[in-house]
Amino acid sequence: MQATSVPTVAGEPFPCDFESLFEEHYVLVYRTAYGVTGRVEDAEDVVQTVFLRVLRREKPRELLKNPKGYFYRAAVNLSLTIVNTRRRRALTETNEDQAVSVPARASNRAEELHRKLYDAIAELKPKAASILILRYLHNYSDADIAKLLGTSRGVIAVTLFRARARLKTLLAASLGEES
Amino acid sequence: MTSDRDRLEKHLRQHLGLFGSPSSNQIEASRARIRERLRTAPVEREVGASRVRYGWRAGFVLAAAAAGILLAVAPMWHRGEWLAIVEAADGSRYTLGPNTVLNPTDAGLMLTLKDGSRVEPRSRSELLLEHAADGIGIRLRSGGLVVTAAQQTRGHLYVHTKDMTVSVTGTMFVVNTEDSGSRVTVIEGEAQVREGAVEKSVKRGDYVATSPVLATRPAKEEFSWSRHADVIYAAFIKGIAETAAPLVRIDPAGAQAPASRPEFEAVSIRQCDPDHLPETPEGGRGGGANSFHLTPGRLRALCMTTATLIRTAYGYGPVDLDFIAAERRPGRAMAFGNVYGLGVEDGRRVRGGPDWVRSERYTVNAVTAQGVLPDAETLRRPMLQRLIERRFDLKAHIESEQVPAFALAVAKGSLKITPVGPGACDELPAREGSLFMNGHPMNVLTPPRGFEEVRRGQKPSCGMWSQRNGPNVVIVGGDVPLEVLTTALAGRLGGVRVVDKMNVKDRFNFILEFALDENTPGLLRGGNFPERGAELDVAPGATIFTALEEQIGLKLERAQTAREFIVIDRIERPSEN
Repeated sequence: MQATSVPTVAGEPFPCDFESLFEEHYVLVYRTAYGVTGRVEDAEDVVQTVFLRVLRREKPRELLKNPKGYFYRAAVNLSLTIVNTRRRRALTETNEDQAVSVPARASNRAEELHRKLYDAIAELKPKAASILILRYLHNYSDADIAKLLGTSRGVIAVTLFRARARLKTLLAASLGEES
Repeated sequence: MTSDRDRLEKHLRQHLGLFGSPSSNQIEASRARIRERLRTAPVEREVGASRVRYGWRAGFVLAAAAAGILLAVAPMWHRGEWLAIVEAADGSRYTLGPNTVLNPTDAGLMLTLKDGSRVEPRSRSELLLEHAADGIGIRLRSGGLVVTAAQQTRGHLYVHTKDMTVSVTGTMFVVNTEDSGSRVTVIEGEAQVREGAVEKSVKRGDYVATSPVLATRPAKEEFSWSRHADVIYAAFIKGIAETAAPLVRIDPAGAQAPASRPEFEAVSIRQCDPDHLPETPEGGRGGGANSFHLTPGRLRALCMTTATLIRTAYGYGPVDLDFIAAERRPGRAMAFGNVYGLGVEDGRRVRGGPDWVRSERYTVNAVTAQGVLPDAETLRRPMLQRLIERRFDLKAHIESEQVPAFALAVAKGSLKITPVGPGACDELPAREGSLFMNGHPMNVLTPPRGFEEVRRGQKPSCGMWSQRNGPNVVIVGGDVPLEVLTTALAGRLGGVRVVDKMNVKDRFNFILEFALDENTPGLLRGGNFPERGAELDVAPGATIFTALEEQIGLKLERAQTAREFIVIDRIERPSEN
């Protein structure tokens, strides 16, 4: 693969290898970001930021080695950052109006649980978060996850086991309410 | 252990995938937008607008130099000036001088101006700050801003777009500018907006736009990108409610009635280009062609067929939603601030007249005289009717036909529930701006009580709430008249009208649980939320017919009912503006 040449003038066409990277990985990045953030605007922000980084930087080593894994991880990390930012701002800036975030209907309660879940996932190590999302959002098998992230099935199984245990602790209250 | 793990996995699968998978259309629409943004994103500037830890002046200069940001830095260096502190979502900060182009690529950026004002730019906006004669100016070249202007004893904050200037002090407002024009939406306080030589004051809960496309866009969309969208929207709705409070109701019997039939003072009707209709925003949020928007003293219909306009003016919805339109309840009325997508009249509700009535589209803008502020329903119905009569020379009459329906009546052996009095239910706190149905809020801040608790003897929440129980639907009513069931059942029965033949006026608490089966197809709904509770191990309940009879003592019978439609007797293309 050739090195990416960084365009210097707005409006120039993409370098051809960037074009192929974008086409090949756009859907995975978008689906991941949308699944985590639940908002088209945020998903678009994530995709744009991920690919802009590639445009404006020298290619990271991991991108050259395992582009799919790189893009996926970047999408998860950025999406979780957005989820975290939302939570921080909600906590600090709507404290006088807590009721606004209180769910009103069943679907809102499900959204609330979804938010809590991602809040908890954001507290996991990035690798564990990536694996959990691949497994439960994208329905990847251990083998597929291992292949995508360039590691062994054993590592995936152990990481999943630990991540679930950690999540269970973090979510004990929420899951209890739901049952 | 295994069951614990299974349970956790089930919850993970269910809730991590709550938002489902985006549709292929959505993916492609986003792909096109992102490609365009990436193609036009100036990479150097991009880097410069990225985060710099503890930037302040020295850090900013270093970062700018390192990244090659496009700055007109000379004034800033020479005079050591800064006009804003920029804070990125990750907490990093740097200063921004005058005439410095800011082109944030990441969402969550916040500017604190020297005068204390706070500015949240939309990602990919382009703006620069400058000195103004009595304050600070923001030149917004593209994108959007949420501005919370600080209160000042002297001086103002100015926001300039290509076609308007906003001057404020102590105001919260949103500005968006794009190719078609600009729009200012005032959330709190008041803003002075100048467009060319015309200057007007815009109060909270209202907005002004230089393009009809922007004018009919839902207010929510103006700031949906903001991290504080919910809070802003709540404040905007509050503004609408408060500006609507001193309305002068047009009442022929009242001393202030300007005429026996209220009319708009100024009306503009323009034909739309059928090949370039405004697009409907994604997500079913309203706007685009066929949208209808009311604000105090103003009506806007964007690229609607005349038949749809007539249908709207006469207070009807599409025939497919007839079961709702039949209910002339406040909850079904139109409200200020919302953008309604009214679809295209298909010829079943409005009949007769030439073909162009159902094909040619018009954009209608109408305003009332100064100080005349009728309520939303007056604008939508008698005033729009009068407008169409005058400008389209419409003569029409109403006819009706018999259509199949259900009748809801008391079954043999009378009702199995007893009337309740005051205090029979727990009132839920209303969300701000909520409509009320039967004296109870429709939009509430806390979840209604679950049917399990009500069955265990607790009071139900006031109002009527629908819940899922495995393959069944459970409707819980608290202090409501039984007629509320007609609309709920009509929707569940697939949109067939349900006529009230009960002749019961009392209020009741009740629980009605029935299976979702071929009798209850429901209405087609958007969204991809999972069916809550569908995974529970619950046996299917009785059919809707049996459940009504056994649990409440009501029966559904096949019947016929009258459905009204409008017949056009005479109509002309609209006269010149």
